[in-house]
Amino acid sequence: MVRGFYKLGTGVMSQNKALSTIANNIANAETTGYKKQTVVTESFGNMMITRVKSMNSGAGVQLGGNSMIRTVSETASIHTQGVLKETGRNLDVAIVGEGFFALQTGDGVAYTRKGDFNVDEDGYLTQGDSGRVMGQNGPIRVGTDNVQFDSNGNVYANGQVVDRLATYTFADYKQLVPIQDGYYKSNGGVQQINAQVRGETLEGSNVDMAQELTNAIAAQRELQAQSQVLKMYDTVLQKATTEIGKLN
Amino acid sequence: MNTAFYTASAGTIQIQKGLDTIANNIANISTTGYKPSGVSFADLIHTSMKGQGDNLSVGHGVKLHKTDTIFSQGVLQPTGRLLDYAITQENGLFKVVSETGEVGYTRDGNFNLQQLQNGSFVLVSSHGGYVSDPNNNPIIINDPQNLEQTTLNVGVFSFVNMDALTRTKTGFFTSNENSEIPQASNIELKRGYLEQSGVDIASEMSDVIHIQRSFQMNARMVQLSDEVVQTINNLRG
Repeated sequence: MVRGFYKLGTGVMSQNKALSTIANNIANAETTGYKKQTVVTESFGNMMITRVKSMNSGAGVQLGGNSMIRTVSETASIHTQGVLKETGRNLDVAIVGEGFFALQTGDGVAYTRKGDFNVDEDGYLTQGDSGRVMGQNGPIRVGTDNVQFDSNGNVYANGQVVDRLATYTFADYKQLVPIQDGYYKSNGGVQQINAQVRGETLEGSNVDMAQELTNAIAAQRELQAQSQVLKMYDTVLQKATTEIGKLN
Repeated sequence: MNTAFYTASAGTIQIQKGLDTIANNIANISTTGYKPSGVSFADLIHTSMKGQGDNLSVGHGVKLHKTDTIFSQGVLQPTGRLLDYAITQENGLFKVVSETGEVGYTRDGNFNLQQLQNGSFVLVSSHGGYVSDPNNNPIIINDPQNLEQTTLNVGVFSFVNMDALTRTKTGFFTSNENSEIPQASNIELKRGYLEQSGVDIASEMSDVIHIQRSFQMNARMVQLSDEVVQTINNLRG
């Protein structure tokens, strides 16, 4: 049996998936609050290799293990701090260090590091047109765009404190699933914290372009190398099927 | 499926749109009362590579999510012209009503006079349309030779939610249901001054460099994922 054939085939597929993730990181290098993702690969199943002495010698001697398939097991978001950019816009706010803003969306609570807020027609602080920003007492109603934030997350409207931004962290960041627009859904383990924030500032993505491009090239070359060996296997199999047993 | 290719091509297209916005800011570096737009990107939907409920999500690129107007106060430049006005605080706008009755708001206080049929003059904006006084009436000037002694009652309007104002094709801002009804405000005006553009060329240029590199990286990824497809296509050569 040609074991390497399957291993290489699945290797090509894994590298292709890794490239999709890298492409998404690069596409979102300018996205506010975006956290880069990385693909974790694993070998799938472990097969024992045994030396069989003869047809009737039973189990034989164990030599070691070998995996037939390499596959992607998970994509992990890397939650390091992104670059802080001063914008001069009073509705912008960035979390410094740990924490997430909570948004009340039509689809339950979503968590995000995106702090470019707006004010909707009822005077509530929103993130884009997607959800209202949660404070200590539910969605924050400011009623004006003359809004300031202090470093403890207090929200001032026309100079008066109206609420404090509710910020959360998670015991296990694995429980955070990215949806879209920089929002995450949580599968549990939510803890409220008092995150430090900075007004008139936005957090950029934590994508390191050089790193991503290096990863992309490495993945591409690995894929190409695997496909080369795959071709060799193909040639070997061709020989096996056409030349062995030929009479002339 | 070749996700990387489509993700990267979405990247190039959307990053280009961001560059368009910055280019427009730079083009308006000398536009009186211009307020720059800030670009905001958002990632697209994340789907699972295998099926529901696993940890194998992959994103599908980026979109230009929104552009926010940055209403920071521009520098006031003295012109000595009696029909130039500048607003001294961020949350005020001039109201301009066009001949067809459309209402627009602007920070551009570079006004002119237009003669009416009855021989008197009306104050108009540089984009056309008469400038409104605090009571929503046109400002009529009977004696244009004697402007120095005439106090023009130019109206300044402020919004509860200025951030929600939208831009029109004619360079004005318009109100919508989010910005609520504008109120005549007593923000001080400076006559003989114009407010310069709010564009900060240094920050725009650094954004251009950043976004251009980002575009290049995405284009490189398009090329790279194309090469990958080529490799796979040549597996059976």
